[in-house]
Amino acid sequence: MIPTDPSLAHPTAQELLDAVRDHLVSRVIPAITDPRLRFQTLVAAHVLGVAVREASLTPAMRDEVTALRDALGEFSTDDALCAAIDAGAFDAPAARDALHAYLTSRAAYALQSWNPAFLWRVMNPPSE
Amino acid sequence: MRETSAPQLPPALADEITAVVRDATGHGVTLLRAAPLAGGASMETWSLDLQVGDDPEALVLRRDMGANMHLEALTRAQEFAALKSAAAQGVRAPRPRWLHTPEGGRHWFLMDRHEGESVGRRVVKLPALAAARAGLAGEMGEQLARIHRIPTAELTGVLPGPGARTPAAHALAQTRDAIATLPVRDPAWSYALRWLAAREPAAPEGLAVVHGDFRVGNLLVAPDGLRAVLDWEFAHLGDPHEDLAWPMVRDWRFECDALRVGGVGSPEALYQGYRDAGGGAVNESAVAWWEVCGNLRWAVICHTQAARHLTGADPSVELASLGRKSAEITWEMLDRIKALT
Repeated sequence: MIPTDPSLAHPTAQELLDAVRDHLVSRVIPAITDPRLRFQTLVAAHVLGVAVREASLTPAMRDEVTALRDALGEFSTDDALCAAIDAGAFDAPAARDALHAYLTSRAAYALQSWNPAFLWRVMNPPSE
Repeated sequence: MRETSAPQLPPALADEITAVVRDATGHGVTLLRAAPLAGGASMETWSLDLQVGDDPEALVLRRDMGANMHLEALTRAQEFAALKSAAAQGVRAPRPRWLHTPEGGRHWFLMDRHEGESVGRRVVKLPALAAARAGLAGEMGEQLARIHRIPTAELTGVLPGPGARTPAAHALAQTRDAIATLPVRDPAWSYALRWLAAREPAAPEGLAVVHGDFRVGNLLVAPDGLRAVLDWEFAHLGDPHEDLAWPMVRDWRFECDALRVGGVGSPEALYQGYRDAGGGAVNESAVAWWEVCGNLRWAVICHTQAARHLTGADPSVELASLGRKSAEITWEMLDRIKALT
């Protein structure tokens, strides 16, 4: 866990990551002419933003995903859950719906740090 | 800060290129200009201007990167052959020019260079391409119809095929094989594989030449429309529906989500262009199956790329980030499954 309490260390780890991100975006990237290096550095700046957002996700968000997983049964690892799915344990409609809900919330959790704009878009599709 | 300047074409490679073209044409050859293009991770691409005898030639060089080839990607010789057949069938594809396959060295070929925009995000958003976008889905359908009419006899034994399996079963088997090589297993993949396996479309009437990566981002677009179909490295023999579905995968809509074909048009426009150009009958439920399958494969590829970084084989923040990107594709895959179940 990244310490975010300014009484322990200041600036916080998030503020440091933000500073590096700003540096890349405003100073480094404009100076790069090699298109490939430029793209890779844009990606690096994005990834720093992901790390900053992930550190700020609340435990409540995580708990929501965990609760949906617990509702599926006792699966301590993804491998165990995969094996159960492969064996048909979630073929019945009710079990399938519960699995679907868990997998969707897990993807949404990952999207909150990776690409919140994507999540917003798919939750608010343009009206027809 | 000092400028990070663009890399130069290595002199040994420049010498190799001019020698190959000189030997093939019998003309004097001069390299006038070389600029790197932002290419894929498995290939080096350059924009080259050559003087060949009296003629200036605008070319693109596609060259193997070395060891880190994608498992299912074609060799340069196979890609060269596919481009040749495509051009003969009237597909708008770059004319392949000279192939060089040195033993123990990195293979490459030169093809004609066309002007236009290929970066997907720009194709979907640039105001200057608005008129081109209006007809693009139909043009894509037309090009696919031509691709799917390439005589398979020309490329049997050259391009990979599904073997004794149906194309759908083959795609699932390939996906399972790819997952087996990964250090992680996502339950969403098991769920999608089970859903897909229960709904496999029947084998098409005959196998067709399938482009394998036909989407916005691999198309060269100019203000007057589609100029060229690029990136043939995943061409294979298979089910035409695979090519009709791939450009609809949400990631290739570049945020213009409502336009299901590449963020530029509707499936109806794609199918209309396909039918008008003599393409075969379109089974929309087969397209829907291949779209879900396409999302699954793309999510797995993202993790395959991340693994290249994580194992140290190919350290790259770009590859690492693709593992996280898979969340977008997984979300979309689950959404499609829900809509179709």
